Amino acid sequence: MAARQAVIKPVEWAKLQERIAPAMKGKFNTFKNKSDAVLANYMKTQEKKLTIDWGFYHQSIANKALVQDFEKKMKAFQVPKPVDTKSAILEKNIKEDNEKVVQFIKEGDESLSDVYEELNRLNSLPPFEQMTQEDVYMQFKSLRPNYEKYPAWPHVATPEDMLPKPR
Amino acid sequence: MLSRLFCSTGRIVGKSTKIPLCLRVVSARSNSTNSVIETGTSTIQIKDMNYPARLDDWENFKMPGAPYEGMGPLPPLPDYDQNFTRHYVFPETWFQFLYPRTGATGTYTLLTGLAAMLVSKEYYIYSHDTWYAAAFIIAFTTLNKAVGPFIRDFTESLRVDRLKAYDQVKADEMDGLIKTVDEIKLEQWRAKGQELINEARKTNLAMMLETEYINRQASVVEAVKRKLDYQVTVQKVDTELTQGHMVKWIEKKVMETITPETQKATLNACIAQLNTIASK
Repeated sequence: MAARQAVIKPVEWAKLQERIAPAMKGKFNTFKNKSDAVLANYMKTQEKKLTIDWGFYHQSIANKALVQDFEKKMKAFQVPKPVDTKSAILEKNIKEDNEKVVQFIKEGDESLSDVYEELNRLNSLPPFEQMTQEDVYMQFKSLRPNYEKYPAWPHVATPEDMLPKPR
Repeated sequence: MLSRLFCSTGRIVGKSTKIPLCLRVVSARSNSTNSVIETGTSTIQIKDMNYPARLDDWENFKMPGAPYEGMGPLPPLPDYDQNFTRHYVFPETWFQFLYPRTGATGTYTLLTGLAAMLVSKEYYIYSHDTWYAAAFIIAFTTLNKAVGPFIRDFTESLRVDRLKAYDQVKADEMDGLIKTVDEIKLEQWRAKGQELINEARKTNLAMMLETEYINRQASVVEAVKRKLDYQVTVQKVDTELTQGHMVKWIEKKVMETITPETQKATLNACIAQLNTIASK
């Protein structure tokens, strides 16, 4: 009888845990608990005996033909392997996930390039002493006062919106 | 010139009792802490353009996102020599020019003499307005001496505070952007952790299949073992039953052989034996 097969690769949970975003901690923990249950079941099967002590039965049973018949039939019998129906679905899911990850990273790179552009713009500004007021308002849109909405000085909704005092 | 009375802007080059502005510029340039952040391919050097920074090559500077032709930075404030003039209006060069010929008082003498000449020759007509002008000058000189520095410092602080506030706004925006870069990179790194999760899922599936397979084998082994054990137990019960039956049968046969005569004979034999034992 073919006993234990496949070598199971252990999962590096510590490595995985540090990569999980705080928002996903709950989902990750349920996944880990399920995986731990699967692992525990697997470890339980490792203790099960899969062989029969034929010598003992040959000795203790008078009907030798019966035992021999049993042994012969047992050796000939192949335990049917469980049919792997989930593997294809898992592969499909993994493929979709990978596509999503690639897409996410691509989007991140795009927004990164935008951020770098913005950084470059800010970085190449001349000192404020040499900029006109209009230049300052053009480069920093949030600073431009809304004269139509707030016609009276200081042209902001609350005093907190005024230029901050230097730290 | 009037702005100089109210605002001491610009770069002061000459000797002064205060710390000259140019020194502040120099120290700011030497002490500036430039940070470097990494981009995908190159690095962005964060320029320290905070007050009092100065862009000298302003004509060739290209403003980012310039909306119209020729838009650019203003020229830097011109150098300002506090010793360029004396008493706000008289150029220092006049004093330097006359110094070898007439000494330190030369220009004052010249000016006094000139004024006296203008009055005596009636080039300058002495009138009521002269008193007014003299009073005006005296009053403003006194005011300038008394409160001039305070007013200058106040207006200067207004200007500098605004510039520093702009610098802060810019620095905050840049800090936010750099934080965004970090966050995006972190999220990308986390997204790449999906591979590990997929591996874990594959491992789980393999483990579940293996568990099921072993359980099946174990159940077959269990069933076969139970049948064999049944055989063993049946055999054991059989032997026990036959043995018990045999014992009963022998007992029965033995009991059948015992009759009252034999019982009496045995009793007599026993008494005789007791007698022999007692006589000894």
